[in-house]
Amino acid sequence: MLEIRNLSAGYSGRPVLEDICLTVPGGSVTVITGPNGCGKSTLLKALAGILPSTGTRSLCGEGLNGLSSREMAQRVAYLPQNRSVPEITVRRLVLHGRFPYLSYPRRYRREDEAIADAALERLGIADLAQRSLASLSGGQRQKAYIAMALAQSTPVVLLDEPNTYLDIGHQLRMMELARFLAREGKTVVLVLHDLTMALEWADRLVVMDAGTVLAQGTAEEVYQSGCLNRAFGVTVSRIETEQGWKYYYG
Amino acid sequence: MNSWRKFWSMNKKVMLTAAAVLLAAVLSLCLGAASLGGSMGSFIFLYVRLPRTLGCLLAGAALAVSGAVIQGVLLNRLASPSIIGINAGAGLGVTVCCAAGLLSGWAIAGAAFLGAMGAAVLIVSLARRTGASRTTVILGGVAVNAFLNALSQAVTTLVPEAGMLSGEFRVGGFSAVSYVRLIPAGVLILTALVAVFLLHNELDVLALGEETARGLGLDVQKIRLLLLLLAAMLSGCAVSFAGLLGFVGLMVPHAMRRLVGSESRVLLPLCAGGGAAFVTLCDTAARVVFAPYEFPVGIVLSVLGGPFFLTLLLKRKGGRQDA
Repeated sequence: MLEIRNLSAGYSGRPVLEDICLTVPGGSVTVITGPNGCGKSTLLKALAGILPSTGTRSLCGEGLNGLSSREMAQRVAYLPQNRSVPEITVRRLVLHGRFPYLSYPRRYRREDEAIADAALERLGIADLAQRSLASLSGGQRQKAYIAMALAQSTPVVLLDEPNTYLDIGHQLRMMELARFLAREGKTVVLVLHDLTMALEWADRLVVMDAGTVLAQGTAEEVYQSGCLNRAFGVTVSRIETEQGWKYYYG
Repeated sequence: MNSWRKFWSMNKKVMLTAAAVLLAAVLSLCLGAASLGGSMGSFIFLYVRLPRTLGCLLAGAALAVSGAVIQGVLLNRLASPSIIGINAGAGLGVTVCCAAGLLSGWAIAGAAFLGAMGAAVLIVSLARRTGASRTTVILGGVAVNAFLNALSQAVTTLVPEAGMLSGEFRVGGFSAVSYVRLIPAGVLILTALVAVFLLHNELDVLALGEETARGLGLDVQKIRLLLLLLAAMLSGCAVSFAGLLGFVGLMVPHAMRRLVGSESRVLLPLCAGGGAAFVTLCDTAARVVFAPYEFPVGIVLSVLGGPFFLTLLLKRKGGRQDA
C-alpha cells in the first residue's frame, strides 16, 4: 500500500500539485485521470521520487522520503511518457531494468539475465530480444519498455500513459497485463486520459483537476460523485451490459 | 572447432578492429621518409617513429571515445569534442600554460584538461539554460569554439614565446611528439579510458532519456558531470600533444554505431580501437604520400571530416528525433 500525505510539488518554483493526500492499495490497479495539465504526470513523477516534493510518501509503512534514488528504484518502477530510442537490442534494454541492482564488477549477473529473459517471455516478445529497439513498431517498443519496468522487480509499478502508442487491441492487452500484475500483488498505478478505459478497468480511480485530487475511490463511487462531469466538462453516462457497466459520453 | 566458430561470429568485429589497430601500428612504425637501416636507424625508430605511433594510437582512441561519450551525455549525435569547443578549450589551456612558461609534460596535460573541462561545463550549462535543444547546443558550441580559439590567438600574439604551438598545433599533427609530452598525457588517457568503460551501463541508461534514467535510480546530474569530466580528460590530453585534431570524435563513433549499434559495452572499445587505427593510418598516409614532405594529419582529417559532417546534417533533415 502506497500512502501520500500533504504532497506538494512543481517545476522550478511553479507549484503544480498542492497538498495531495492519496491512498493506493496494494494488489490493485489504480488509475489517475483528469483533464490535460491537471498534474497527473507530475503526481506520478513525485510518487516515483524523480521530482522533488514536500510531504510524506510511504510504502507499506516504510517512509520513502529519505531513500537514495537507487533504493527508490528497487521499490518503485517508473515509466515516463517520453523516452528516447537508442540503438540497443531489446534484451539489453530489458537488462537495464536490473540497473538498480548493479554492483561490482560493473556488469549484469546471470540472475539479472534470467530475470530479463523472464520479463521478455512475459510480454511475449522473446522473439524480438536481439532486434534493435529503433527497428521496432511503436507497440513493440512499448512492450519492450514495460518488460524493462518488470525486470526492475519492484512492488510498485508506475506507468505514464502506457496506451499512447498502442492500437485498441494492444491497449486492452496492456490493461489485462496491468490487472494481472496487480493480482500477483503488485501495486500498479497508471495515468490514463481515456476516461471510459479508466472507468472500466480501474480497481481504484483518482480524478484530478488543477493540481488537486477531486475524488478517489472505486469507479462506482467516483461516477456517482458526479465530479467527472465537472472535471472534464462533458456528460458521462453508462448502460449496464452483460460485461458490466459500459460508459459513454452524452 | 564449433566453439571457435561461435567465438569468431560473436567477436568478429572486435577481432577485426584489433587487427586494424595492429596493422596501422606496424605500418606507422615501418613506413616513413627516413630508412630504418644504418647507424641512425634504431635512434629514429625509438625516438621518432615509436613515440609518434604511440601518440597517434593514444590520441585516436581518446578522441573517438570522448566523442562517443559526449554524444551519449548530450543525447546529440552531432556533438563531438572539436565541434562543441572542448578541443578549443584544451588548446587555450595549453597556450596559456606555455605563455606562463610552464613547459613540463604534466603541467601541459593538466592545463589542457582544465581548459577542456571549462569548455564542457560551459556547453552543458548552456544546454540546460536553453532547454537543451539539439541545434542550440551545436550553435552554442560553434560560438564557444570560435571564442576560445580567438583567446588562444590573442595569447600567442601577446606572448610570442607561446607561439611555438601556433602552426601545426592549430590543425593538429604528430611531427613534434616527444616522450616528455606523451607519457603524462598517456597515463591520464589510459586511466580515463578504463574509467569510462567501467561506466558503460550508466552511459547506456543515460541515453534512455533523463526521466527513464532517474526512474532506474541513476543519479543523472552526478553521472553526467563525471562522464563529461572523463570525456574532457580524454580529449584534453589528446590535444595537449596532438594539437587541435578535428572530426575524429565525430566520424569514428558514427562509423562504429553503424557497425555495432549504440550499446556502450561494445561501442566504447570499438571506438577506442577504430579511432586509434584511423588516426594512425591517416598520419602514416600523410607522411608517406608526399614524402619527403609531410602533411599535418589534422589537414587530412578535416578534409575527410568536413564533408562527413555535412552529410550527417543533410541526412538528419526531416529525420526522426532519436537519441
